Amino acid sequence: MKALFNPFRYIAGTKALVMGYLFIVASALMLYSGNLIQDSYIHIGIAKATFLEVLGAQTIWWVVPALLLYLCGLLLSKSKIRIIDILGTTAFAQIIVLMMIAPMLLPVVMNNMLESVAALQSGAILEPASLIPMMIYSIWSLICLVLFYIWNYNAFAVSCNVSGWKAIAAFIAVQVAVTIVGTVI
Amino acid sequence: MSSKKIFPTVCPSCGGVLSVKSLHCAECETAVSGEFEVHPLLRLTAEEQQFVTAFIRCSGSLKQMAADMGLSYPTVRNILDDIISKLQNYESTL
Repeated sequence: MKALFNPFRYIAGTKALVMGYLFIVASALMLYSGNLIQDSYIHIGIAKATFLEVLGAQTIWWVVPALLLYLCGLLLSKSKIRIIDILGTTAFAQIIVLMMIAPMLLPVVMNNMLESVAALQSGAILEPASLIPMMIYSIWSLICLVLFYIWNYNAFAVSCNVSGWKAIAAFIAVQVAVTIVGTVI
Repeated sequence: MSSKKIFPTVCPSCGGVLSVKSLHCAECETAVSGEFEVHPLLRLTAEEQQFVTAFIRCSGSLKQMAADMGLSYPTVRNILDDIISKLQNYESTL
């Protein structure tokens, strides 16, 4: 149970970084195959992009928050922290993004989503029953999102040996800053 | 049935730091009494003392310890840092 919420007690550093980057590449491949792109920190949009652009976006939305958390760690931690640990643990946490993306590519979910978007744009009213696949996916992605934040916080806490309200405040500040910047650009 | 007793370091009544009043030789029944301070390392918990022992056995290699304990490097380093800060606290109260 501990490992479910905090796998970084057991894995960090280079091993986590290699595995994590493989998750990022796998996510990028999935997004690319579905003509999708991670266009902000926690948002996926439809776009015709090359695989390298999709991978680049995935990498940026992992590296930038990780570096900001590392800077917070340098300011808050009394321990000698290593950048490889924060990069490794946050990269490993990207498996949650993969878990979020994978069901999205199921034809039943994808078609339902496209139908809903088209209906919204045309002003048509859809039967609630026809939205069931999208509703199930929404619940799944909400669970993944909560887990994503828990894993990222634990990645920060373990890698930088920080805890308490200062760590929570720094983590929230980084998440809010990255989300706002992601939405603006 | 013999159970291993845990060396108490904190007074169960007031929470103050305990010191050693007397020592006893199980071989010849000699008793030594006086006022002996407990070394800060003995004030660590049993798990922390085990960690310190393992740390010495690994010649201070946290990577080796992480591999032996099945934990990540930062987790092991965090345990060590917490022990260091605990020892610093004990030493400052001496």
